Amino acid sequence: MLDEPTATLSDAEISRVFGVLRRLRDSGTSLVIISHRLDEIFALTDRVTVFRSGQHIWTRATQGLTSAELVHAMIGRDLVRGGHVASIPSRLAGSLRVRTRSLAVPDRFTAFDLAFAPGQIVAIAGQLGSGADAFVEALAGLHPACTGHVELDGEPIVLNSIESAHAVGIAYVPEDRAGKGVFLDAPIGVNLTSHILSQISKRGWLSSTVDRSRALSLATEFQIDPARLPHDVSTLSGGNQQKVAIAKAAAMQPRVLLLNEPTRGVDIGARAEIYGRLQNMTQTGMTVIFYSTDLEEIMEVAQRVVTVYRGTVVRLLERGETSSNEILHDILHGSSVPEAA
Amino acid sequence: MRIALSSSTERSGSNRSKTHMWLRNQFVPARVQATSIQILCVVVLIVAGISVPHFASMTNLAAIIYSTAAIGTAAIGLAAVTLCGELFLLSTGATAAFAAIVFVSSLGAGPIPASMAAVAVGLISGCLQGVAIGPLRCNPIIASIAAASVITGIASLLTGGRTIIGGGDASWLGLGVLFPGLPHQGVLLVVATLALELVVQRSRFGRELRLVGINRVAARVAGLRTRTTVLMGCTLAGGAAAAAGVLIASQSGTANLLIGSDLNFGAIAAVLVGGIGIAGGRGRISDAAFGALFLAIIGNLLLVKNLPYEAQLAVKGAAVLLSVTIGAFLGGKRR
Repeated sequence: MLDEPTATLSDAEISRVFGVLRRLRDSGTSLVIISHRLDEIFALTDRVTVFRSGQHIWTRATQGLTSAELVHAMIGRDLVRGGHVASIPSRLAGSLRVRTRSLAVPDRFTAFDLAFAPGQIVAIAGQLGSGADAFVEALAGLHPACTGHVELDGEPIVLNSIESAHAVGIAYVPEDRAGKGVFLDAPIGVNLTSHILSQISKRGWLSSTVDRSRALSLATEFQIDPARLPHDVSTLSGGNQQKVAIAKAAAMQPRVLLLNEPTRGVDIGARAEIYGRLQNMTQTGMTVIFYSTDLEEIMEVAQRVVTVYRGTVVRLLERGETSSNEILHDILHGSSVPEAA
Repeated sequence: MRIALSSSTERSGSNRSKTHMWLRNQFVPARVQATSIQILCVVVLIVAGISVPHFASMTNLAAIIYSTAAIGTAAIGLAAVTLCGELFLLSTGATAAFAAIVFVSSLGAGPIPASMAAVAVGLISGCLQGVAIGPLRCNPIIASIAAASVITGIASLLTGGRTIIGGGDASWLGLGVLFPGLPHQGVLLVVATLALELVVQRSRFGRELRLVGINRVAARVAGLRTRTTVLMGCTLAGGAAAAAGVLIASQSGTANLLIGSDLNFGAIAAVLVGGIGIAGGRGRISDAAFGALFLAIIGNLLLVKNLPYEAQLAVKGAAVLLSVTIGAFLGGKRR
């Protein structure tokens, strides 16, 4: 019995896992796999059972099942695909939100010269350890050893700590939800306002009315059940926990929202809600920069994709002018053309 | 008419569910130990009051309050350290002894200035340990054992190891009673507990204290002032330890290095038995005060029953072991 066996694995590792599972099946072992990754379900299984909100929806043979039917059963409605990318608000066009000049972190990546506009959603794509993840972390102030220059709205900024990033309006959602992203054993409401304690307190004392109203409005925005605000985050599903993690960072109303693996281990319904929410937030000019190893996610959400290979930028790709194969090629091989391609 | 009627029943219904909610919240895994100890305090007081001769006498009740007051005061400060995930300071006893010596030797200036001087010494001592534990990330146990050694060393240099006899009158604090059976010290503990509880529940510092205790890394990511918070928690604990020393010294008007000898374990026992989670983030300040009260009641019962002091020690130790085990069990259950 396997619960989300591939949630944190790379594609190469996943195919090895699949190989092992198929061998086990052929030798007569029965396998039960819990997953929300559609490609995995279709590639591997003979029979699918769908549960939603604690209820058995149906059990059917995988053969003859379409992914639309499956998604409908999982989230109880049809998913609007590709609706997550809108154009940049025109009044913001032409200005720059973030500009990095030869930004580097020793041993992780060298000389990134990148610029991002307000209202843009940018994916930094690369394998784990390629430097793409470190770039997002450096912008969050997690790499005090970084060198080079960063400008925010034309002003030079120093990024030597999380506090320094917060102070200029850069918020960060880490990849490890349970370990870093949320306070599992604290109420949802307390989590939601944890980044904005200075805004909900006066002369050192918390205002419970402001606290409650901010938590309530964040919960509504992020489609978290307001009745559950007094309950601990640990009582929520992974998807809802991730909504809390993003909502509490977004509470700062940052100029730049950084996300590391924004929807890892998140079910498809919550995933769509998160993408929609990110899209909405960019309407006010917020720039979203995220690192992801999920190509499907990158293709669906990002307006621009920066591909990274072994610590250097390979290319800057625009949505609509690229394919997931192109991105995959860049992050696996860099700019070199593999022989006999 | 019918509408008015139905709306009024609705309101009483929601009131009932509010009480029901409140009651249920007292027995969630995170609160069940603290609630049980508080109920036990009341039950044991009533049962012993009826069945044990002399237990309910004014002098005996006052004795229970005296043994709760000093340990409880140290424990509510120590609870701030435990809540922010830094376990304990093992310098509680040393700080109390040093503060008691400062208090007694400056008693000539009057009890209030003398107490203030003593508590200031404790705050400084706690703050210095807080610098080591918060910003410099030293292990709290090691840092506070080292600090205890330094404090005791300085104190014995100053006193030459002798008992100091005060030149002023501290009997209001040491022996005064609001009415028979309720010493001033008990009132002070209640006031201090309520004040500290208010700070931890309602202030920004208190919110940060608990969040840092729940998950330090997440607190850093959320931009909370983790180092300052730990530093302030330790400072509070130092001040509280000093106040405990003052309470003890005021009873006799004398002080020596032995004054806080059973305060270290007493305060830790009160925090743990009271139901404050050793991993941080779980519990309330008042839990520590109830823990101290509970241990004082049990100790007193053994005393009234003519059991030796060693039996009290064994029972206190067993109570701590039991509550740590319960805490670990409930902690595992919460995941």
